[in-house]
Amino acid sequence: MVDFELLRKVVEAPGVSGYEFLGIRDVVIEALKDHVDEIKIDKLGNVIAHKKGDKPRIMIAAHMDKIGLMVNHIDKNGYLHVVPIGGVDPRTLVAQRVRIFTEKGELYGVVGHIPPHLTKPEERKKAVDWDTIVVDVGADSKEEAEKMGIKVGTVMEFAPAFTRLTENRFASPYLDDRICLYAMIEAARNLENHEADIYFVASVQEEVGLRGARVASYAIDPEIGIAMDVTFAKQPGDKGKIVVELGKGPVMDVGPNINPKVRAFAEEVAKKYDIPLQVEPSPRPTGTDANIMQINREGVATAVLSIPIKYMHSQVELADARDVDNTIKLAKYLLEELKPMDLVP
Amino acid sequence: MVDYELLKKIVEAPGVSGYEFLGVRDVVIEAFKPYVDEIRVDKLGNVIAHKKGDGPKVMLAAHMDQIGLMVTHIEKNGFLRVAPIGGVDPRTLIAQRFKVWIDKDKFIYGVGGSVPPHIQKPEDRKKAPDWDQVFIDIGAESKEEAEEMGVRIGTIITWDGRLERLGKHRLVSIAFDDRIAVYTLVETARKLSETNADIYFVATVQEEVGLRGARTSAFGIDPDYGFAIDVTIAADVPGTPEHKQVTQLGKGTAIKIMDRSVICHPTIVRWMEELAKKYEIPYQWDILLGGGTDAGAIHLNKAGVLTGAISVPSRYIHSNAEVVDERDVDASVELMVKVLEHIHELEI
Repeated sequence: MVDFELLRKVVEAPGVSGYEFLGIRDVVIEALKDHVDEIKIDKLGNVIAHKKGDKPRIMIAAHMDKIGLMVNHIDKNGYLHVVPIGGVDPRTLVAQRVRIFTEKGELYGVVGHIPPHLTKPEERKKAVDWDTIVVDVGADSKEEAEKMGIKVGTVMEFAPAFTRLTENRFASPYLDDRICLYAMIEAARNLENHEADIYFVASVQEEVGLRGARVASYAIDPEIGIAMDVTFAKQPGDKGKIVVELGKGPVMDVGPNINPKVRAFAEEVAKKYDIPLQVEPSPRPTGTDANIMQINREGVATAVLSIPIKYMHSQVELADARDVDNTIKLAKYLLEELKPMDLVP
Repeated sequence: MVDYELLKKIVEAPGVSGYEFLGVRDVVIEAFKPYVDEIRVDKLGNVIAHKKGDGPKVMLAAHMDQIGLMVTHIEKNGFLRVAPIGGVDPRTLIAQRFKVWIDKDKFIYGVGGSVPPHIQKPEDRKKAPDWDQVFIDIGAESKEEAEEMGVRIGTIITWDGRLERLGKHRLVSIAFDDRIAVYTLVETARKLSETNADIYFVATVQEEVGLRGARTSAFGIDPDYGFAIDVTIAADVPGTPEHKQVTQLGKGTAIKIMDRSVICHPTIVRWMEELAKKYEIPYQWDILLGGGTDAGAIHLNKAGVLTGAISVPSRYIHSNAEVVDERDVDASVELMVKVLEHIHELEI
């Protein structure tokens, strides 16, 4: 069963890429420290939690960074001009609240919009771009904004808005990838007997180029690497290109980025424990930590374990608790069942 | 003259990026066996064939993966929707035959369907098809039937291609990119006589999706020198001015100066040219503005590797009818043999 209290804590803890120290890092350490043998923070800020075993050595990673915004200019009227950190779609920012992290503490801002009354019909049809996005923190001047603690380089996130829609469905900013981070934490906490030597990694800077996983996998040197990340579920406007559905279970990719033996083993485990498993075709290297893990050192046998969500990279990413629950189970049993195996594709 | 039977086996074996185990890997292992001391396959599927020596450690790479298709969706009426693995041009799918790989050594046929011109509007006939429009017809009438035939999401598809002679010196085939270079590598191993170099012949995986196999195998080998063998563009065809042809068929092996992935070490480039001149091996230059090779991954390994590359000129690359000239293949083998026999003299 999903522990919504912990889930919400993990989802809402601050941590834009490179700024994971603002909150999420401590949440992860607190949640894991009594359940692993060793826990450390590396020089990029990755949290690496080691649950000792023998063979094979496995790294399982869920990234703890979030997409967000950074102030690059404060104008004389006190408006903040911003640039994206990671793949932020400017269209999702209009008329939204943002949470700002300053040295003096947290504060909120809003992204305004030009009332339709003042725009021409043809202007209303155009999507906004970065040039027109400004954040209003209630300041009337640059000096006032600076007094509030805002500087060039100040980071901000979408404001928390966790919403239970039904018993199973919920929407929130940052289910990417905190929903998987939560699932990984639960798998670690529920882990029983295992032969494998397991490294749980809450990786940093995935959204800006898989950077945390790169250095963590170099340090750990695993034989098997599993990335836990969200994937796209069928939704209106997907042009029929998405095959995965919400509520139908965890998802595992197939393709060049995936070691077929690890994938087949995971499928057997899913069958054994009666866990539904969906398949996603990935003809290219995936946009997950598994991409960089696969080409670590002499090569790693990688796989991706995903929770499907709708509306990715928006404030209303939407998931199903049954998928989360089944993902926790699959991760836990996979780690428990893993034995030394021939990993040549 | 090429060893036609060996070349045929190498080019016709399936092995799309990440799926080299479907066929080509075993062919490559078999081909290298008589000429090396040790062969191993790593966790990504690279075949690493080691010929031991006490001289400089040299890695030679030719990628054994080929571009292809992956099934992404099965329509309710049995048609397959596909996505490219590597740089496949959707225009090259129309009216082609395909092999749909159900398992290792087991395939069914498919065809690249299209809308007949008779029922297209004149303006639509001028448009190139894109990935939303192309589909593969395997003769199934329903999704269930396609699944009964063994097709799944993730099933791999290749062109139904084969090796044929074309004119006096030329050959046409599927997957000359980069199997002609894999063949070159095997022939180099076979013809090599006097060398003290410690040589790793590597048939790499996943070059077409980002030079991934070369990166991990180079890390494991940690070579002093790296050489990649790949194909390059020969656009010596009607309508292309000479300055845009890159290379020409029959004019020799192409010594790479640069492409998008690597600027070859200038000393190695000059040294390779001297060797070609000394042994009267026909050569031309390869400067490619688009595309990369395994040399791109190898030269960035660890603290850096002195890297060079040669290319076999090929017309119509990334299609089911790539054309090479066997004299260029012979020249490529000869130059690689000389490189290995003289590498201990190289001073940089």
